[in-house]
Amino acid sequence: MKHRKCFLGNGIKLIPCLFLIQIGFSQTQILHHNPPPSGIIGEDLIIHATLLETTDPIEATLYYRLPGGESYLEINCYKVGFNWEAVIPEFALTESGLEYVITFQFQDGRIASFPMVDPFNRPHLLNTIPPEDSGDIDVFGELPNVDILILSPEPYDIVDQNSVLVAASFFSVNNVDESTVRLFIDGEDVSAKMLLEDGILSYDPGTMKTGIHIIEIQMKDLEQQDLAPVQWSFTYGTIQKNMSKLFEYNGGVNSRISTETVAGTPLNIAEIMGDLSLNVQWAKLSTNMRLTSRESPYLQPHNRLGTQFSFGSILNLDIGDFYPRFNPFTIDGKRVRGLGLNADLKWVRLQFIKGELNREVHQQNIVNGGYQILPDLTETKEDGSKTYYLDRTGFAFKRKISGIRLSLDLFSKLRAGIHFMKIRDDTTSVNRVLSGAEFSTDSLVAGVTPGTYDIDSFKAALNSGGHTLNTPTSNWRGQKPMDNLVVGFNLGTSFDQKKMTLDFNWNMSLFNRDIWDGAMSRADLDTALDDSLDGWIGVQYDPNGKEIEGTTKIDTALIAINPIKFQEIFIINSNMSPLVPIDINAMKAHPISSVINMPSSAFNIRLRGHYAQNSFLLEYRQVGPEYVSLANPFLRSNARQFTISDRVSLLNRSLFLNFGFKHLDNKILRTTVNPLNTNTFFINMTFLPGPEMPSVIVNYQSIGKNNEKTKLDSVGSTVIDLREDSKAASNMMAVTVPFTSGEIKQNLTLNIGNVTNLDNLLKKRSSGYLFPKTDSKTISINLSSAFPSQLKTITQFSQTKLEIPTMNGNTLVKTPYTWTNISLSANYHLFQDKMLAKGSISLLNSQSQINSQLLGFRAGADYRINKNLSATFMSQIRLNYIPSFKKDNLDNDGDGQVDNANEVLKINSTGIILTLQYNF
Amino acid sequence: MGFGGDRIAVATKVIGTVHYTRGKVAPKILNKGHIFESGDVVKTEKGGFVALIFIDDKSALKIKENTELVIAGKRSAKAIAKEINLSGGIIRAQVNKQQKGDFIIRTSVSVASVKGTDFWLISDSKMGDSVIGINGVVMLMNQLTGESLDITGGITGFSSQNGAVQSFTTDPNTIPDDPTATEGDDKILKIEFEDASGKTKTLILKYK
Repeated sequence: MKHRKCFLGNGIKLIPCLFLIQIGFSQTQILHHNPPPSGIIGEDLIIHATLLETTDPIEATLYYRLPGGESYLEINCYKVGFNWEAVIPEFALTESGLEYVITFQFQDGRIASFPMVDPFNRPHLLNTIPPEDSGDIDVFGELPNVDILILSPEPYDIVDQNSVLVAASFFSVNNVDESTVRLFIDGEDVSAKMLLEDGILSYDPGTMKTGIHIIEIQMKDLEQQDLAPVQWSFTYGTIQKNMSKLFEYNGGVNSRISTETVAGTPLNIAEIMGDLSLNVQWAKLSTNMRLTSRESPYLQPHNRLGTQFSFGSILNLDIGDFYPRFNPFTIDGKRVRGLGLNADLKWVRLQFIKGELNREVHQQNIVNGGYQILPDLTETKEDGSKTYYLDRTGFAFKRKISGIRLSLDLFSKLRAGIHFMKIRDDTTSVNRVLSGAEFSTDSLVAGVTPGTYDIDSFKAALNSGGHTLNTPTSNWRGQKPMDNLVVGFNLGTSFDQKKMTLDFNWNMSLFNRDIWDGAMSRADLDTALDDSLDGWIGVQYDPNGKEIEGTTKIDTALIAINPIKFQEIFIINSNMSPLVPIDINAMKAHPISSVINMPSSAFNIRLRGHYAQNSFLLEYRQVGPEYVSLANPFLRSNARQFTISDRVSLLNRSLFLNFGFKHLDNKILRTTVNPLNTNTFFINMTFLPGPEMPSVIVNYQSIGKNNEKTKLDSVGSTVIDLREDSKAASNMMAVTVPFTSGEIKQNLTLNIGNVTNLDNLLKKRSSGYLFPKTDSKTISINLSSAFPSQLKTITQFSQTKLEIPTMNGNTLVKTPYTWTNISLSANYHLFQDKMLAKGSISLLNSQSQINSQLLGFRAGADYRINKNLSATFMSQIRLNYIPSFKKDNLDNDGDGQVDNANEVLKINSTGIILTLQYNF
Repeated sequence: MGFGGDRIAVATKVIGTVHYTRGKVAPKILNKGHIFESGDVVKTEKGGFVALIFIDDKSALKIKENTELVIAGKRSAKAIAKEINLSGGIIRAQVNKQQKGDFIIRTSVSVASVKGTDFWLISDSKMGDSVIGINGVVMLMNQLTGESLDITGGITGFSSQNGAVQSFTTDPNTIPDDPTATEGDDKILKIEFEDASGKTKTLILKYK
């Protein structure tokens, strides 16, 4: 069973008050997430986030990577009541720490993220700490009340004659009278033949009868009281060696059912997840799948099914859902459904992908989710009859992707590669006509009774009034089909015995934001920017036919590629961005600079070194304003960034220092006016002296922003202040102190953090200026206690204070919000550790313009049915108490009664979750 | 690491010839059930193999043929700080997540610091050390330069005599066989058949 560290105090508890203050937040602050102070190395980490949005996102994803890594791995977030959760797997939590980003993408294209600003370039850094000594915290095992460690044979093991040795350790036992220890094999007392020295029991039974045998150790404590015997079984015999060696398999199936009600809205989800691995000596087949009731033809797929064939270390073949990676600028872990090939011959490597990034969605399951009447496009004929325009809505095109990358690694001295990636929306993938889709009409549709129609009934209604209907089969007003081509290369080398590496990665994109009309011909290009078919693009003439000087001028004869012949690769038309990738005029004077700094290019140059205990990084990275990769939608464009950082370990790897500086701006184009500069200095210290010693983590980050703007702007007659010159300083300190009181092992963690924002132009601003950044202070105290009686408790106190700036007339007001949370959770092992009972109670007190309390209860248990099968049950209820609703003369719950009891105390959410896990 | 005399582990399986040396006494044959004391020197001969388990947290060490090492451990009330000094050869360390004490493996070239890990370490005094990660994470540090790498499952780390460390995807063919993963050795039954003309054919049956 995996250990999971769950950081409470996040998400759900803050909901009621956050709803009240969202007006003060910008749009992206609809995502609320309190990052945990640290993760535990080698243990799963559950990350909570809360969405202050009534509509669910179409994609909720957590991206994570090693600090400074080039690529992110992504995992889906799952909705659990108010919260969204994602489990970062244990292997990702190493002593190097972890960087992660949470993103929520909505149907209308909005994206909310944590961190809010530039999340993929500035992900949240999470420090990790070693796991606490779990000596007295048993998971499901075979040990009963006495903490005897079974050394050999393992329970249920199959052993042969060479391995039959009965051994057990009394190392952690201090209350057993060793003279009372008795060993039984199949009920026969063999104590006289066993050895028990220095807490080590051993016995060699010699040849045994083939079959199952039972070992039992009986003993008494120092006061001669009987202790629960330790009993386990094993099989004497032989494994089918040849078969198991040639063919191995393992896997698991997890079934999860949850039924929840949040603010009166029911939410029922059923999911089955599974994985299977078949391994033969020369090949391996791994399959994983997820089937969920959230799967819907109206959304992108939530189900996952992927299979990977591995042939030695040379060839990997992915079929179904997989997550390919070329580089951070092209595709970097985005899900693809299709085929993936990775042939790696050490010195040469070929990667190939072909599939789809998005599947087609024909419509939404709501009225006007497939069709919508656009009254503005209604045409009136001479006879007075009308032609109404019925547009298609709610669709998404199938987005096809194919890519290839060839790379070399010659003796680790030279690394080089080229890549090519093509992404195109399939305009034929979406149904032109939807027979069952309903849409509404109103009084603007003359001659038709307002109401809900489908296309057939609407046509009939129009025809009866003498009107007609225009239902276009292309160029719909909503989402446009896109085309994208990315090419690039990389070069790299290592020197000084590989202690230093230098890498350069360059990419260029072509992007077409609307390919409904297909590719243009040369003649079309000629008249794309002007009306004259003269062999020149962009040349304009005065009324006398004389060329107007100063206009963009491109000779169509110089266009090496005929767009019609090129359309299989990329569709060239006037919706391309950029229309011409290279500045031809600048090319003559500065050819290299023109290519490197193309607005549609993205590149980085990175120097990494590992000397003594230092790992340093020097990197310049630039993404042009016109660079697009549809396979990497979260890439920030129009940004260039310089980074210098070092991570040093001291005191025999007990003390880690991580510090650095980043400069970010958008000054790529010479035409950029008032670029936004961001300077970030960060330092982190982690001190981990050793097991059962106090540990300290300190973080400091300073972010300065300015846009070089010195004057005020005006919109019409209104003067507005768009100057930015601010500094945000965030501090965090976490101290963990392990100690023992009596027989109770405890860990006390104190976590203090604050974010302070400073407006450097404060004295130059007018009194009516709103500096919209929020200061915050957080403190939390966490006491984890492990009792000798298999009981473990976690007591937590946390308080968050925000000061949200708002304008009251012409006066800046900072409205304080304080959330105080107290919680107690406990778990207890029962039935010889077969069951783990869990429970928690929490109280959140919110003090703001409206005060409220949220009281939550959770209870459940894990039960191991047998060695392979386990079940989990969890239930929860939360009550919301708002005292001010008692006398506000309002019907707050909409039940027709004013100030009744239900308004003051009501059920906020309830839920039950059942999980069944089977491993084989 | 000068731990002395603490009883720290027990041998659960022995194949072939394995010797151990305790103090200045001459080497002795190591048998199943042997209880290791800190400072015991273990040497496996050709075809030899021994599996041992530490008594505090069930961390396992499997030692293949032609390997020599010193097993050391410092007992405290709650854990044993383990240190293996490997002169050369092939070992497998399997440390579970309930690991109690530190677990360090040293060679003349490298130090491997272990936490919740399953890996092979192949130490060659001429070439250097190879760590083949099976599960979890092991930090491989070259003692000459201090350079280190985290090795995870499916990755092989190499620490060379010249101070460099590097990693690459594991070639499954390089993973040593673990005798305890396939219990027992094949026994062979040969039956000779002779036809009327005197020609013989042999039927070979392999069984456990």
